[in-house]
Formats: sequence, structure tokens, C-alpha cells
Amino acid sequence: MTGTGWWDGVGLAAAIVCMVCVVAGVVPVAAAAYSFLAIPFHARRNHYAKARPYFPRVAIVVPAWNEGAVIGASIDRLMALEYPRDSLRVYVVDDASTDDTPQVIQSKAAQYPGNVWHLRREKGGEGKAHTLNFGISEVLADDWMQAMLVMDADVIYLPSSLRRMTRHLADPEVGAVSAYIREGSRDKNYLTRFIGVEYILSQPASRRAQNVLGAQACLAGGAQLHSRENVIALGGRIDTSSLAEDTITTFETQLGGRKVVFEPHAVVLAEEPATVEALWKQRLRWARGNVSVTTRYRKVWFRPSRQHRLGTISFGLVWFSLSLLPIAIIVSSIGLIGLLFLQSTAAEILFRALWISAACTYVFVLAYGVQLDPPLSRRCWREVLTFPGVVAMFVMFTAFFPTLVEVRIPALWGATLDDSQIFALTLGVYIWLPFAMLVAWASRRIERLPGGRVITPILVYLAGYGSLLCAITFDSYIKELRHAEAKWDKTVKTGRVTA
Amino acid sequence: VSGSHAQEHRPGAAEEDHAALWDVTDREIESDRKSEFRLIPKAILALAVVAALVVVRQLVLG
Repeated sequence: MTGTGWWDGVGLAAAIVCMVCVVAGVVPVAAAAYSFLAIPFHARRNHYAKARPYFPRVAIVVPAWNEGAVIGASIDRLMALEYPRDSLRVYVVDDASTDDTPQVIQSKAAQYPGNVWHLRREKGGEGKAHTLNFGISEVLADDWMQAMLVMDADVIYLPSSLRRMTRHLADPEVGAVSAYIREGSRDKNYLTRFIGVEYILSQPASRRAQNVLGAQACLAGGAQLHSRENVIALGGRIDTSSLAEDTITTFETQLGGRKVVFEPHAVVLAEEPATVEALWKQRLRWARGNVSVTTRYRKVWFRPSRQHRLGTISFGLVWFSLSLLPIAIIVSSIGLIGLLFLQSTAAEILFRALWISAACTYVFVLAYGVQLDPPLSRRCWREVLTFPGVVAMFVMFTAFFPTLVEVRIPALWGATLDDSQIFALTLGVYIWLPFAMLVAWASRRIERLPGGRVITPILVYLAGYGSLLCAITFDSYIKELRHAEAKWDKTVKTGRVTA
Repeated sequence: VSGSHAQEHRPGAAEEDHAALWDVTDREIESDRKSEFRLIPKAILALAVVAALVVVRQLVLG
């Protein structure tokens, strides 16, 4: 082989590697499209055929640490549930609170005798799972409890939500039921509106799809109903070894051959973080938990089983396309930039194919999602339109209408882009998504500075809420690789939820 | 409901509140089940939006 031929071979091999890297970016897009295309099948593949009116004696376990601002209203709401009062007990597990939480619970216990119980841990601060286990051991101590509802202290259950959940437990094959956690802050800001949109996409949309696929990824921490049999089968306790106790509970339930059902019509309102800093802490905990779940259940992925559907290829794709999304984005961008130098025509073709498919998926996902919760979508219309980020929308526009961006729009000002300007624009477009994660990371830092509360929303709108979540997921990889201490950072709640 | 928990807990005639809840829940199951069929036209509408976007692209690119 001549020297020129050898270099041609290396160039071709490098171009193929770059193409494979670009294709890695297609996988999450395809998984999202597949997941959302499964939703309409929920019309037939749902659990309503086996649901019946069923009112078991429900023990509601509420972990509470310094929840004085919210716990009273939460208990009042629980007592107003459209559910037989004699079949309802609320066990508030006070995790050594230092505010007025004990007094509030005791006054509610006096107001609702026999329905509200105050359990006090004198040594607290070990995390939600430990607090829950204290409560679970109490409710399992006698035979009264037939079903157990685990919830957060700040969430508000709409009156029909509990009976909409218990009806699925009429089927003895069902171990647990989850509800739709809806962002319910009274005074929404840009971030809680983004979270509202995210929750529409991840719950009434994606969890319906998971009902269709036959496997649920995670029971909502603020709304999970278990049959007594399931609680006992789980060992009568919640896992305390990781930050993802809800996901582990969900997996263990399904690995034990019991179904987990998502009920989209049972709505629970929750207060979500209003600052990037608070969101980062909350999601970092979730993301690190998911990393540990991924490794813990490494023998489950892509290994179909007769007992559960966690090992199906479709569920594995859905799980990994989310947990590895930041890596897919970075690898895909590196591939595009490599191709730009090696085979610019191929780079352009792949870029258009990737971003046009991403744009079509984004439009489909959002156009479908907004119809699943129209009132909330109307209130969050700006965040619906800018969900992927304003700059990412420009990139999609570039993929859809290249001549408009490169020729016609500059021509409106009498300008013409020369080759170097087009190259710079192309490079910027190809590199945008990894760069957007950096912008999202910077938004967290800037939020702490003077004027940060003004600049941070602008950065999040520009970079996109999805980029913010990807940056947090990427941070979770780094923390896990460094074996950083896994702390229980409780999200501060202020009682902003309103029904 | 053969073999399910539901049968064990069917309320008696004396428990009027339970009976009313029973009826409401029974109707709700049916209405929620039917409402899930609306997911199909909603999906078609969302796909139509995507199709419109592609058509616009073709028209713009000539």
C-alpha cells in the first residue's frame, strides 16, 4: 500500500467511526419517539378491565422533618379525601424535627382522633428511607393495614385520587400503584413551569407508555400505594443503601412478579424547586440513585424474563436512552465535528438527518404532551415552546431550512456569508448541545451572584431545560466516579402548593 | 370479582356512604377507561402537526 493509500484508509476508518458516533445521537431520539408512539395503545392496554371499587384499610405513612409549614394542610387534605374515614389512618413520622412539626401533628391528632397518629424519631437526619422504615414497622405491627400509601409531607391529594389508586389493588397481581404528581405551586416561576411541562411528559405521557410496555421505571416518591402483601414481600422495609429507594422499591416489586400500575387520573399536587440550585440538589440525588440502580440491576437489563418485563429490549432502551443521554449528546457532537473536517458533505447529511428527526420528535412529543394536561400546558405555554432551548430551536431551524439561514436571512440585510463564516456557523451548530450543558452548569453558578436571579432564567431559556437536566445527569456520573459522599439533601418546602 | 380482594369488601346496604362511593368509583372506572380512547385522536393530531411541519419545509425549499 502506498503512503497516500494508507492515509486514505485511515481517513475512511476515522470517518466511519465519526459516523457511528453521530448515530449514537439518534438512539435517544428514536427511544423517545418509540415511547410516545406507544401511548395511544394505552386505550387498549391498560389495567381498567381488572380494576374494581375497592376500599382497603389504608395506612398513610408521611415522613416529616421540619414540615411545620405544610404538614397541617396536608393532613386536612387527607381527611377530606373521598374515602371511607374509618378505613384511613395517617401516620406522620416526625424525624426529630426542630420546628413546630410535633405540635402541628399533635393538634391534628386531637382534631382527628383515631385517624392521625404521631410517631416521633428522637434521632433523625438519616434520610427518607430510614424515616419511612420507622413508620412501616409501626403499621405492620398489627393486622389493621391492608394497603400502605407512602407520600411526602407537602403533597396535596385531590379528593378522588386515593380511591382511583386503590381500585387497581382489587387485582391481587398488582403490588403497587402510582399517581400523577403534578407541579402545583401557587406562585409559579419560570423553573416550576418548566418542571410542570417536564412532569406532563414524564408522567401522564411516559408512564402511560410504561404501562403499555408492562414495566414501570419508578413509583413516584410522593404517591405510591402498596398492597400489604407487597410491603411484606419487600421485607417490610424500604432500601436504605442508595439514594434511589423509590426506584429500588419499584424494581423489587416487579422482579417479585407483582405488577406496578401508573394511574393517570389520580392527581397529586406537589411543590417543586423554584431555583436552579435546589433543582440541582434534588435531581443530582435522583440521578446518582439511577446510576446505582443501573449497576445494581446489571443482570436484569436486556434479559427478557417470564416473571417481569424489566428485561425487555424496549424497556432497556427507554431506561438507558435517558440515563446515558448526556454521553450520547457529547459523542454525537464529537462525531459531527470530526466528520466536518474529514467528510463535510457526510457531516451535513447526517446533521440534517439527526436534527430533523430530533425536531420532528420534539414537535410530536410536545404536541401530544400538551393535550394530556391542557390546563397546566396553557399556563406554561412559554416553557412548552422553549422546552429544548431557544438556541436549539435555531439549530433545528437551520437543519430544516439551511438556505434560509445561510443565504436568504443574511440577504435581508444585504449580507452574504462567505465560506469561513458558514464554517464557523456550522461548527457552532454542531457543538451547541454539549456547550448548552456548560451554559446550564454556569446558570447554577451565576444564580448565586448579584443579579443572578435575572440572568439565570435567560440562560435556562437559551440553553433549554433539557440541557439543564443533562448537565445534572453528567454531574452525577462525575460524583459517582469520584465516589463522592451521597448526602440526603432534602428539598426545602414552603407550603406554596394550592389545589 | 372472582379471586380478588374486591368481593371481600363490598359494602352492605346499611353502609350508605360506602355504597355511594362504590357506585361513584364504579362509574369512574368506566369513564376513565373510555377516556383513554381519546389518546388515539390526540396522537393523530400530534402526528398531523409534524406532517404539517414537513410539508412547510418542502414548500419553503421549493
